[in-house]
Amino acid sequence: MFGYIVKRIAASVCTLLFVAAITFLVMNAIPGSPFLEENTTVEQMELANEKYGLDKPLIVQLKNYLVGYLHGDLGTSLKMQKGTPVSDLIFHQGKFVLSIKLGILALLITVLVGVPLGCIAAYFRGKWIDNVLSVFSTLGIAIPNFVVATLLLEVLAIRLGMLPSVSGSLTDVKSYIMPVISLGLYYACYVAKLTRTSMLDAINQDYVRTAKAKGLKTNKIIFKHALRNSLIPVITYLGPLTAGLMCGGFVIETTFGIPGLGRYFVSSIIERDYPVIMATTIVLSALVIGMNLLVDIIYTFVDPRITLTGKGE
Amino acid sequence: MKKAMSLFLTLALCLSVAACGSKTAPESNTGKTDAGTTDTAEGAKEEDTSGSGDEFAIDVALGYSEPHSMDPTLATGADQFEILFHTSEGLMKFAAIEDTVNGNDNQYSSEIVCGQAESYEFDEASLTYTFHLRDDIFWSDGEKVTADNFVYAWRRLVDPQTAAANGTLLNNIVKNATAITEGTMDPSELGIVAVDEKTLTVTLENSCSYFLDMCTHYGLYPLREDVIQANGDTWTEAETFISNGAYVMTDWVHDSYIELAKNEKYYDYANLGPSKITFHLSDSETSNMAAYQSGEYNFVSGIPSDQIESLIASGDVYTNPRLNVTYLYLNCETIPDWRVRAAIILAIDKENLVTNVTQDGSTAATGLIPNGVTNSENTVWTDAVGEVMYAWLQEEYPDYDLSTYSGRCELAKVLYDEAVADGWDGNATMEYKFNTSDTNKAVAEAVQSDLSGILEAKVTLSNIDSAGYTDTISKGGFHLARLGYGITFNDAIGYYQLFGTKGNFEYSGWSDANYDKLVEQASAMQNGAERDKVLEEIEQIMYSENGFSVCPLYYASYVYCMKDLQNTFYSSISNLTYFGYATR
Repeated sequence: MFGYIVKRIAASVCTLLFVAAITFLVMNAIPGSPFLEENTTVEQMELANEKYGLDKPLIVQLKNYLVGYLHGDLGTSLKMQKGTPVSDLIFHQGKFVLSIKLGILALLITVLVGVPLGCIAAYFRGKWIDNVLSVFSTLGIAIPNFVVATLLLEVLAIRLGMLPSVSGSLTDVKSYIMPVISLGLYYACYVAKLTRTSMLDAINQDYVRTAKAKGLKTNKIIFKHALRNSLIPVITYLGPLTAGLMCGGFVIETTFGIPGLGRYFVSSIIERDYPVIMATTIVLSALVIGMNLLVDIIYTFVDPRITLTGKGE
Repeated sequence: MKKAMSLFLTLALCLSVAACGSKTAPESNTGKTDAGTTDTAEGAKEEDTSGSGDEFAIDVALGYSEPHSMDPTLATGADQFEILFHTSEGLMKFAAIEDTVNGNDNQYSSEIVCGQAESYEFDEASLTYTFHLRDDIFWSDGEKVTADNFVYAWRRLVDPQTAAANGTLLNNIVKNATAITEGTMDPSELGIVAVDEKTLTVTLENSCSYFLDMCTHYGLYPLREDVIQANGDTWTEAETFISNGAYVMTDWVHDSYIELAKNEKYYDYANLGPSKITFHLSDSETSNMAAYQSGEYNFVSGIPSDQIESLIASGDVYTNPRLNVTYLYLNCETIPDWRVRAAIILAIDKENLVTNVTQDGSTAATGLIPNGVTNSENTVWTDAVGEVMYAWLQEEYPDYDLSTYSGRCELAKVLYDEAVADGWDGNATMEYKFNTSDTNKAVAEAVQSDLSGILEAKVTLSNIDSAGYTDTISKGGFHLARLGYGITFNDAIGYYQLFGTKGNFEYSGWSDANYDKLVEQASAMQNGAERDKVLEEIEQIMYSENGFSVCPLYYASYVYCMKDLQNTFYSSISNLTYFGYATR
């Protein structure tokens, strides 16, 4: 397995460089410049382009980026935090940590609420509990997170004054509550639905019938035998989701005033802050690649029939 | 099975440890008030209640996210000006006057007075200002503020190597600035000289009547060469930020807040109000408003558009005039007939735009110059000149009452039909370009419906990202294109300089020799009634035969909510509220 992981990591580096190149090309295909605002003249923009090397041929600029990345240099922000090294911006201002904290808590909610609810719904299939859960999870999926966030803000912060409306750097427990709920709710509901479906699938399998025939308790059948098999699609979904959650929910972070990384994924594109676009894309890609690798490894534990190298059978 | 279970548990444990571990990190940044108390939560609470007793701290949200730069030379926006204006001071500064702004009882208006300069003289013959600096001015680290600090900052601003967005601020005003920004002269040739430690002379290219206004601009604040050299671009972080104004930066949590405290070295320290001012860096109007409503903030500007109408009606929100106008370019190349352009200007219902479309406290435009600008007698420009963009038409076509919208529509139809008879293709589709935003889109749709309703003209809308917008419209090709423009000094010439043959923002391809001549003439005149006349004449040229290349739509307002604060003042120059002397 160790050899396999090394191989995967080596392949990942190539993938990342490829992602960087594609991002670079796409980003340069959109018109505009980081230095051009509503009231700047074209001459001023050209001056700035020259200073920051944006007047060089694209291929030279791309080469500079890639060489920089191989040396661990992510460049310098051109606009959003003008003059700040992008690596400082992402890793040293507490942003990444904050987004990861928020993402992991939302992920925990997703798993710890979504999976059990899905199991319960599947177990009581067709009963009133299943119906109630189904209504709630459909609602949770249908309501966008900014609506959930605004509702929570209106009720818990403004009307009742129980929670702070600005969560800031998440320094106390209270400030976590609303952001984590609004970020995790959708995914928890989605995972509940996913778990229910694959659970129903598993319950009808022969081995479950065998287990029942053997006289095993229902609890044991559901949580020991059926759940394990029904988790595969859930895990597949959770991999990229984890990466996404950890890179910050733009809307949630903005709504609750959390200085996370989320804003930089969206605003860097609007502001044409090229080095930040590149760096955030690469960080997100690295996380997705890493999470997919982790998911592949977890598969082998959950389902021994799956092998990583394909030589098992 | 057990293996899988244990793996799951280990994973969960790792995750929770990671979550706890990282939690402590930011706390060490902000939790300094908790030192010494065992129960942090309670300790903080106690601090809070005692704080409201003697400590006067205010929380402000300007409705902007993280500033692009807090380096005065590189800063670009009103949000940065507002913060920098509390931390730093130029040769001149703003001070409250007895008058209140716009009839709002909670804010004073302001005038320009000496700041770091104690006095100044202007020698008209040599076009030279001599500034004498105060003796009691210091940087926050205790060093004296010297004339050299100003020279360094001004040279740095115009140096093309700096590539500052405001780099052309001094062009055509201070001697040699234009040549330096164009790269044909060395920055040391700029017309600013430190005669001695406390004396500064500035030589101008013409007797720029608003030069003292400009001396309040953040781009012209003094800077410390040693600090910038030692720390590079990141000298603006709270640890190394150095300032000469009333407040010092004590903390900057990126994307969260900038915290200022009173500067003990400031000459007027004894009279300052709040001991702490926190600027919250969020552009989410909804959450800023929520924090204001729940009592966490004292001041918010930038109000959610769905609430603004009801808030204005209930009197909880205030509007101040700004030096900002939103207008349309009417392209003289694609719409060569001035009658079509005039018809467009007449047919757009500006009142409707502000009451039913933008609904953000804006005022309908009556001319190019917004209502924040005053003339040499301190009368609001728009009051002094009236509906200047219809004046010439009214004279030429006295049968129509242009003071009403219906009268304007009648004339618009007549002019348009005349133009169609003379060869303008009435079935042609006109393209309206705007930079992407909800408001701009709503305005565009309203204009589209006015033009199709009144003139039966077809208009298609096309939107472009702000970052690529001016680049696109500078290439021409459109029929109509919107732009909002704000100036940083109180003088109508700031707008007239945008257009004409020499204008950097003449995107409609219009030119008029007489216009160019008058703009040049007014630039060289001293403030006074005579100059006001010339300025009025300039706008008359824009709105007479063969003109009509710019259609002013509305004047943006500075909209804010404020509670529990007295004695703040406002300046329409860069739209800022000053909190330094605020009281409860």
